[in-house]
Amino acid sequence: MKAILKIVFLLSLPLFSNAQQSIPDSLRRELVMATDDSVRYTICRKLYDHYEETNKDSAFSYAEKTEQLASRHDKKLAVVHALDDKGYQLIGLGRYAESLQCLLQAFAIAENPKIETKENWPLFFASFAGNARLLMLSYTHHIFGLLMWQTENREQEIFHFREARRIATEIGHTVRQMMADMNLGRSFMTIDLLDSALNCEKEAERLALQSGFIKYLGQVYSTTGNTYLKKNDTAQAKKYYYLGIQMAQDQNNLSSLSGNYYPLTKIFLAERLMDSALMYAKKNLETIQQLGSVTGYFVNLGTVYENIYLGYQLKGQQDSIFKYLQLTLVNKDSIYKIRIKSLTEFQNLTFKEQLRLQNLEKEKSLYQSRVKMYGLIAGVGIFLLIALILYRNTRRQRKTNKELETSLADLKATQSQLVQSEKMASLGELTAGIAHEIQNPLNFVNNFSEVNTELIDEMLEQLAIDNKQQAIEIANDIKENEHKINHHGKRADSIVKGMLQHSRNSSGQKEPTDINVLADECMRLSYHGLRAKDKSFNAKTETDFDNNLPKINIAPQDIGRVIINLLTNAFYSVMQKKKTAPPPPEGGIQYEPSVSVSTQKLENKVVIKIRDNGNGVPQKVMDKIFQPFFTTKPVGEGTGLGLSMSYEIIKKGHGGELKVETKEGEFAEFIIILPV
Amino acid sequence: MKILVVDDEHDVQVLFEQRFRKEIRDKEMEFVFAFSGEEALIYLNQNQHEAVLILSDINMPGMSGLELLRHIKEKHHEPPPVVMMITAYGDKENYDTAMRLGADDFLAKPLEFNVLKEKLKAIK
Repeated sequence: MKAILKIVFLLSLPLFSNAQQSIPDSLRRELVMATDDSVRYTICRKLYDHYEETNKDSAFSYAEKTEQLASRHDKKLAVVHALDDKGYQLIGLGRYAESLQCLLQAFAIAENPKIETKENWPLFFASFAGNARLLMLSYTHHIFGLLMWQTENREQEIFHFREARRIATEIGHTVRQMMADMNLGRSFMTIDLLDSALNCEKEAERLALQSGFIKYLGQVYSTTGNTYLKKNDTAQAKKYYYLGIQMAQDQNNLSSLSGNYYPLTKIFLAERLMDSALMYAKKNLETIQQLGSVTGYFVNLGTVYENIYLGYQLKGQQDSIFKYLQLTLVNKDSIYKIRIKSLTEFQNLTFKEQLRLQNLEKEKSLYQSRVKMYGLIAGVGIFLLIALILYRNTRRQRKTNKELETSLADLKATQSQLVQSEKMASLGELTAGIAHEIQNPLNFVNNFSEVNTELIDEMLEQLAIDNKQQAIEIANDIKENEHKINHHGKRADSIVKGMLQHSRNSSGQKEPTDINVLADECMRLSYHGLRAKDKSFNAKTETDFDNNLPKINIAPQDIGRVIINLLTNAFYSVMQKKKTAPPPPEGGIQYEPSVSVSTQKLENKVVIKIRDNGNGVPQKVMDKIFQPFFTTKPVGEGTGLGLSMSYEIIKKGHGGELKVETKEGEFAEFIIILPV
Repeated sequence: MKILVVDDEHDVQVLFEQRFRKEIRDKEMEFVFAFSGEEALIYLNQNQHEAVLILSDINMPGMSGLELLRHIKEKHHEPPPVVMMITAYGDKENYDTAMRLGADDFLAKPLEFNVLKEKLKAIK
């Protein structure tokens, strides 16, 4: 309620809209005179901003211009901004495929953290001291969410708005938070989560008032209204539509304005208040005409004409009914293919209505019925035309889909090749280590067995002189040595088995496995693998196993591969830290690399932790480390597939979790959680 | 002759004591054992002039055998003890590094005790 009072207060302030009207002309003059591209860019950006919600065609053309200018000067973030703007306008224009292309391009640029340091042209008008790249990434998610909304991919829609909000919150950008909330509210409303929807809109309203960015408050109110309408609270809905209309008019936001006119018209139609319905429908028509091509939106010329037509139908004005029916049909021609169904239903309904009217008025003059017939024929013709266009669109879409499928298949093949080479690479490293590591147990096996031969000779000597006591002592030594031979023989065996297991192509076959044994084996394998590669390498290794661990059903090779991978990373990290560690101050403690593996049983889960005291994972790459091909290692040292493979194995293969806890410069701990 | 054996594997002690049992019985040789580079350094600092020969493994957690070797050769224990490196990683690179740091000899695992005995006797 307080918020509403605030709005009323805001509305009572003097309006600037008159002064704004001359802005585009003066800007266009400036644009003609500008000699510098960065100045041209700024002017075009302002013009875009002016037209963003007042005329979609002009807005699109200025978005294109800013993109050209920014691309010419390689201003990456400005390019992203322009691509997003373009993508946004294309949604309105109903050119969803092109919009998708723009947004994918924008993602590709904005997701690269390297562009952060580059100098840039101004982005949104309000200056922002935070991370501009993340701001653009949030904006891209936002527009992507809008595209998903228009193409009715609900899950994607909500996911991307949430991402947009998450990033905006992270960088502390109130306006983007508010915009995301506003659209999330609409998403929730669409899927009938009405209370969530109201909460989101309330938060959006609060943030809008807090930041002073009230350009879209009109939309916040239309969604709030729509939600109340779904709750059957027509009175409350109307209140918000009126508020929305006032706010949208004040802010000259024609998109939001039409978003409020439309449902209000619908209410009046339902209440059979035809004059009010017709008045708002016509106002909306004016708004939409000014707004330009908005065939991509649900409220477009077609749906607005439809309202007028329905209004006249209520009134029973025959000539107007036909006029607006035709206009409705003509203007529905650019509706996207997934609306085929609802469109067809709509057409069927209007035809039935048409027939009914015809029967009722048969007795009227032949001239009138002929007019009706022509209208009908024209309608059918237009309908066929629409069908043809839609058919063509579908075919084009299908062709694109096919191309996409082919390239997806290619990508998958390449990926599996890469995964194989990642396996082979780590296998190569391990084999070298094992070849050496096997020498240690062998040393004991060979020497203890030689000692035993000598001892047996000695024992025989002692027996010959009947020194039984001495002979027994020697026999005990032999027995003890025999134990050692056996122990080290088994040790060599497990090293070799471990290697074979790692090299074998995983069948993914799950079997009850002792995680402690597996983890221990992996620790040795990876440690010696690295030692073989880097002779100077050394680290303290620790294991802390929970002896009460039950055997769990897993694919041992796969989980083994994950553990080895995480350990190899851990060793790499401590090695890097040691290389760069400054010498300790006099009497200080030298950095001692240390890597540990621990296991733990928690309720119905088994937790494996791999911890190192290396450099940790930098915060800014945290969200990237599980992505394929992401690596911090120098070129040629890592494929960037290790962690993503591990993630796949744990998450998809075993229904578990792979998490990371880290403090930069101090430690990293990877946590595998497997269900029992 | 006092010999310090450095290796992180505890079974090495039993092995040496058995392979050299005659020499130990006849008091020709005396063995002490350290299970890490750090332990070896502590021993050497507390018992100067005692060990004349050091047999050290290279790959050990913490201080490696090569670091131990560098410490011994840098800190000028008088008289400088003879240091032989014993390792499973008998490759050229390891060998070169050991030699550069001043190792007196270099043996590969599995250890041929007959060869080792010859070498020890030659030193004596």
